[in-house]
Amino acid sequence: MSRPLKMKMPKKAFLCVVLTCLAPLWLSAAHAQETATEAAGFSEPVDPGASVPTYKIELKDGALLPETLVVPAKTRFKLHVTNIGTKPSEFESNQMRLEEVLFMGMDVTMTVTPLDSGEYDYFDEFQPGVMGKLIAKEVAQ
Amino acid sequence: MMGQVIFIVARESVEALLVIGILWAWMAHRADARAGKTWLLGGIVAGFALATMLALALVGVTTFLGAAARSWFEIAMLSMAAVLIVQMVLWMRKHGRTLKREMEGELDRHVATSNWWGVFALAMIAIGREGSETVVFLYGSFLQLQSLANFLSFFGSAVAGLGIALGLFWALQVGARFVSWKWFFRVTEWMLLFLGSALFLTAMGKLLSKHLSAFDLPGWVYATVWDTSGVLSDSSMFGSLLATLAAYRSQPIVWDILMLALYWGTLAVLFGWQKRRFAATRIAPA
Repeated sequence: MSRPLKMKMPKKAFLCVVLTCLAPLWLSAAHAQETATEAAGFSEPVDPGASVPTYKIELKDGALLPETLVVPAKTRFKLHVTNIGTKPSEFESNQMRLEEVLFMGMDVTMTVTPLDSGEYDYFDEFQPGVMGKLIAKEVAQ
Repeated sequence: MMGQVIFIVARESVEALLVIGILWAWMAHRADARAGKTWLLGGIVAGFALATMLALALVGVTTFLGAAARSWFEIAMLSMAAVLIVQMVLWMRKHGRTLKREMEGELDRHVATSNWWGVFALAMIAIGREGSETVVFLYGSFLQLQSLANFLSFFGSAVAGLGIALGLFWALQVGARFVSWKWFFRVTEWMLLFLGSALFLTAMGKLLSKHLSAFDLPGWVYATVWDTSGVLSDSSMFGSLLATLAAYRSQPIVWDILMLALYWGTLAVLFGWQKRRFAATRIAPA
């Protein structure tokens, strides 16, 4: 009686070890399916693969969603800004030369000229307080 | 929210009131002050009409031009305002010195009429552009009001915001009266010229990002020249005021610097030309 029990224990342990060893492999394989941009710390554009990528920003009564965006430097890109709040807002960035008044429910797509690597502010001028940060950084070759 | 209403109304009106306040104070020193003030008031009224029209388009009630045409319109308005400011300052320099002695000849009077149109247009643009944003903001905030107390505090703050702006206007008039005219003239002249540079730079920024963005300009055009955002960011309250009134940028690109050089370069040429002509007309009768 004791023999089969003894056999069972190592078998179970072995299975557990194998599974825990394989799990990260399997998970990383799934991750590899995602675009390389995420892995490099860049924000995901809404249209991966487009020649001029578009990033989404939503304004909600003073809140900026997201508050941080990481984009490739020296590359033209677009910002699609939507006011999903209950008050009018003015999306503004002196540093990126953008200024757009958005009434409730309105959206606008703006082209941003290629940026040198660095940090650039964006905010809702009608509801100041939160400062968004767009980080432009070089794509590692 | 109410503090915000005061803040936005006051800040949006600063630019327009600076222009109008300076023109108003300057006119008080002219022989034909009454005619000038009528033109200025006309421009202010037309400015409110323009602001309302632009605001309706922003809210989406009317489709006043398409998005692209509207941005061209905005660029044209901004550049026009910058040109008018420069022309106004040149005119003031010419007539400010002689003050009440000028306006004698028929030709002078004719020149004056065309400049009154400049005063009218400048006041209209100054109010129309910033005013449309204020109208959108106030209208949107107004729609959110629920109770009577809300309504009262909303109107109270809108009036307070306007009060702060009018305080600036009043300060300019007092300044014109109590400070030596020559000094006031000098200072306001430079304030107007810097404001002109800010308007021109904003216009050129819009031109670059909205209409030239489809073209691949050489990379150096977009290169950041310096970064003083750590010292004074143009997103901060003081920095953004300085950006609106004096074209301050904490991360300017080569394009910005080129456009500012174009503005101040043109101005230097015009001033030099005016100085030579001024000297020539002085020598001629002697």
